[in-house]
Amino acid sequence: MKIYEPFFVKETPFLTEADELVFTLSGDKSIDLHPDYKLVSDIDFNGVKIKEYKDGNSMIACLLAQGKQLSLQNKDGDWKRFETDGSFTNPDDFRLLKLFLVTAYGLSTSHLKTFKIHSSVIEKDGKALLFLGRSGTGKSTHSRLWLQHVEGCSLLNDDEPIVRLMPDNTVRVFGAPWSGSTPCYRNESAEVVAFVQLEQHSENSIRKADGIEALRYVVEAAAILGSSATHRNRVINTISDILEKIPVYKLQNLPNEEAARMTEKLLTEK
Amino acid sequence: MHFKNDISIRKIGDESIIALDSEQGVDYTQVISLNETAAFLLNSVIGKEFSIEDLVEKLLSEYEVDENTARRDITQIVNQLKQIGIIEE
Repeated sequence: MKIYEPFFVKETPFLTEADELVFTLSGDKSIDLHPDYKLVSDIDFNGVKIKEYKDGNSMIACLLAQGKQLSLQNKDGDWKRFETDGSFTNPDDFRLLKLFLVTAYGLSTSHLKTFKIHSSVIEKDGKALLFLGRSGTGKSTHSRLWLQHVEGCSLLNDDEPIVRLMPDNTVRVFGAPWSGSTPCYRNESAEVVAFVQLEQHSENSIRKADGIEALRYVVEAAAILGSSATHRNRVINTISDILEKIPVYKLQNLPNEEAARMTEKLLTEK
Repeated sequence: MHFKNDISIRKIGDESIIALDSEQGVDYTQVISLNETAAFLLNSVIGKEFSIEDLVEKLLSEYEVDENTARRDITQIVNQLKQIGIIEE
């Protein structure tokens, strides 16, 4: 639970029925996976087996890792109220529940023009760059080069930050209680200046990406639930809105200072 | 004919794409790239009933192009969009 502490609401206000919570999760409940539930997806995600069952609107997800299994249920199909047979005080359960929380957060915030993205984010003076690319393309390495060579910058999140098109039409990126293997759990945000798709290459070069190419880089990096057309459409629409304001670049690069200086210009010339 | 779903045309950098605005019932696995002229033409008929002749007229009023070429190119685009299921009669 420790990594969630920066995100706790310190003085919990009294919540009324009218206050909208993104979602709630209640532990220590009993969950009945009766035969009417049909298996709709069965995936292996980072060593965790996730089976998703549906009966009408009701959804049950079973998470299985290292011989430990727990179930989660959302009865109304609204991704708002979840129950689990897991326990928050059991460290093994909580490790699995954390995985669920990451996914549920992404799903239940899509109507707020918010999505999770696979990215390493560098922040400087309240402005941020999001480095994108498949695992192993050097996103974290590129951020580390910034930390070494660019004064006054910091790592906002190294793996799965949250991007939101704000009600005032600005685009912001938020830290999260998850950050891949790098412990970087910051409850802070910054204005998004650009998305940068990284690719390893024998020399450094940067160019702007337009249209479908730009959309593809960001959609591929965004966390999208394949089995939900609603979620997919919402996230892609939000991304389309955002890309009318925020540019996307393609950086072919070596892991060196010159590459970091190229992306630094995107922030300083803004 | 008309657009089957709520659509909007988004300008991303120097290119335009068609995006489907509906949240339900649409398979959003296809995004269509448009050149500047196609984006201009389709933008002018969003939410309206239109014919190929409407688009030809619109194109001729804005661009220096001969009528036969205009009609041929527009018919081709419209047929493609019908095939994908974005436009219906």
